[in-house]
Amino acid sequence: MTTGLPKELQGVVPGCKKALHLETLDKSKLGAPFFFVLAQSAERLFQGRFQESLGFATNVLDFCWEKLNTGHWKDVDICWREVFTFGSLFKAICQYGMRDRFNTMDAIKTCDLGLLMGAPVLDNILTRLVAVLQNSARGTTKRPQEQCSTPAVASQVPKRPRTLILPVIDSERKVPRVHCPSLKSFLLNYMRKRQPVIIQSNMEHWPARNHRPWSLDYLRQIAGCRTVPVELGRRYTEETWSQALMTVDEFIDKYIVQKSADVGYLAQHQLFDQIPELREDIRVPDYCCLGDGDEDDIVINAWFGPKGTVSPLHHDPQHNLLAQVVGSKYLRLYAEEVSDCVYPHEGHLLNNTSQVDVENPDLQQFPRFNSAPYLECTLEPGEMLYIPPRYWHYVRSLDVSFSVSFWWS
Amino acid sequence: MGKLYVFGYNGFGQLRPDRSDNFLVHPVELEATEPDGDGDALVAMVTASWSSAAIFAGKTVIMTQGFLNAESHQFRKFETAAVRSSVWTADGLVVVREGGECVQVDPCTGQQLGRWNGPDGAKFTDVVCGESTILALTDTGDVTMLGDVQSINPTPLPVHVGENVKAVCCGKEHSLALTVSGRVFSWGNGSRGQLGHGTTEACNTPQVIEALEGVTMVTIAAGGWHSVSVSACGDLYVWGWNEAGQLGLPTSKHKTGPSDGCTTCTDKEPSVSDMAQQGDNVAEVLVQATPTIVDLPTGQELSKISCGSRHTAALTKEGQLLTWGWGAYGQLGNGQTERCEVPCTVEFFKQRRVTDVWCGPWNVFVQVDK
Repeated sequence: MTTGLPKELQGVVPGCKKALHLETLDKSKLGAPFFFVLAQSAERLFQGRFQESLGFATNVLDFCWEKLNTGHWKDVDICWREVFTFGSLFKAICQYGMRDRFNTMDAIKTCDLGLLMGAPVLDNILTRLVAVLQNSARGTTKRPQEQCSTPAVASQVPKRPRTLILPVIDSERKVPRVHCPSLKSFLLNYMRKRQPVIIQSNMEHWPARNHRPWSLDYLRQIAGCRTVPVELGRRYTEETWSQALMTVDEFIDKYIVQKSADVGYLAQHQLFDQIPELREDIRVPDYCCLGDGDEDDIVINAWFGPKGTVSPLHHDPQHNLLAQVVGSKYLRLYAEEVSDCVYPHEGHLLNNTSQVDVENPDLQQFPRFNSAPYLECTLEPGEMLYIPPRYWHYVRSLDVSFSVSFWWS
Repeated sequence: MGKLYVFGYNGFGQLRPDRSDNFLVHPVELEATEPDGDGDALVAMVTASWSSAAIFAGKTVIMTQGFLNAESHQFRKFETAAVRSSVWTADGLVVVREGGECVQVDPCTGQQLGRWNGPDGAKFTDVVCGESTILALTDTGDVTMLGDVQSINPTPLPVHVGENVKAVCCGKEHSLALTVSGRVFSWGNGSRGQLGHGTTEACNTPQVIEALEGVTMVTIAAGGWHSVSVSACGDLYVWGWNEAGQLGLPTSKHKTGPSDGCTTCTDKEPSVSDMAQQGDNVAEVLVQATPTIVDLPTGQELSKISCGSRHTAALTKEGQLLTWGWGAYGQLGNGQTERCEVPCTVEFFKQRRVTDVWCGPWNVFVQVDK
């Protein structure tokens, strides 16, 4: 029976330290001093000694942060990401328990950092905790933009006629469009032939395109207070490129609604793992079940940004269906066979990325580029583009855009 | 005669076993819990890990504090054969004796647990440690790797620098060597620019830092992911990660007010952070892959530098202490927990004469003239 924990959390958080099963963690990898601090935080948590528990939880998170930043991310033992989640869990509960000093938004942010950098423990407890915290926050707090002191910032895209200047697509190089092919037809005519194609009328049943249409207001409502990673800078191949963490509200305010000189792009983020409510609004295309891979291994990424975001020409190792939910994108595609005409970077980190700026190529430096055949299209809302594995693709958003990509093997 | 002050992380009682504070934002005196006649002995050196500290009073008395014998807030004091260098590894305490042997000792008793042989019988002079590497320096100027912390490999592996080395130090994933001729070599992971070769590429073997050629360096130090050196002329050179301002370079492009910068600096000379507050668009530096000079307030000259995980401390020839970088655990000693991206004089020691400084990962030990 918990004495210390706030009662709203008792449905989600275990009742005692034992139920955390910290003894299953690999002490030989974590080290005795670290494990000691982790255990101290847990003990004080269940005693309701939140201030002390928070101190130790902060030690845990700071120590983990250093481990996560040592060596290559992929080589870091998963135990460090797991204890980062535990640290985030304890810290969030303490912040919620100390609501005279912290507000619920702080606790939500702590959970989000744990979701972003940690690895799931206790049956993905942070996701369940953040849902409870969000409900608690909605009950009592105003939506953040109503507290905003700068009244000029509108909460939705200003109404204006759609005067998009759409790129002229060469009819000889158009990506073909097909209306909802059968699984067999898609497999034989497109996957096996490594042929890009735009599939139409396959998103009509998505709630995001239907009865819960995605808009800036809707996204703010569902996920406004959630912290997400945002890419800053024109493109990831440039030196000024960086990543920052901010709430969805902050991202929309600063990079979508305002005419920011800087580009911000919520790109390649598994948003739907972090925010299960949004996952309910999309559907995994049946075509993703074709191929060798497991259904559970399908990776779903969100791509949400203003007009003008650019993904430089690059290729990915898996099959890709890029579904356009809101807004339009211009894409250009080059087959793997013409790779030497797109001048990939050397070095193993960037060799899946071309050195050429597709819409402004330096033909002196890259003379063969103009001779390479390509396909192009403007991808419209409700359409999804199939990009075969290792097929070069370049993307530029023509308007405020939200795409969802599905990667499978 | 000297007095030791401590500030920063104290979660294990490694600064003050008698205090339960998680960290100390103001410098406090180190108090041996068993006061005796040599309470005023000059501290020869301090070596600190994340969870413990070893204070060498004179060369034969060791006081260890912190997480010892699987318990927190411990304190031990014992005598040992004279020590000239020491470091904490994942396994325990490694010391180099005056006689040149490198041994592992029990941090509670000083009992010898293991020993490394010098290559060709050479004597060791120094031992340092990174996340998973232990390096030792011999009296012949050779660098050797004592193997990783997981196993006491009794035979050290040579690390080829090609010149006589007089000092080595390690960050979490990189190593630095200072040669007798004043050149700096670096090797290891370089993803934060900590090797100083102008890229973020790793380097498996020691390479000289080209950008420093022509300048004679007299001392080096390494933090978690950053590197620092001081030239014969007294200039401070920094390179590596600046995410918390540990290089003394700006961390944010847009400064909006005093709360963004260092609020505790009373040094009068204009600093980089002052310029930024006036609305200038000073370029932020996250990764500095090539060494650059950082100006010090009031143009002081440095005699010693020491780095923690994400902060830096420097001792001036006039006996002042400067700190900068990450401050969340009070490791800047200024009573605050904000980061500071400009070298700032620590107020507490302004009326005192500081004679030595050693950094643990999240704290600082300062020796002061009585």
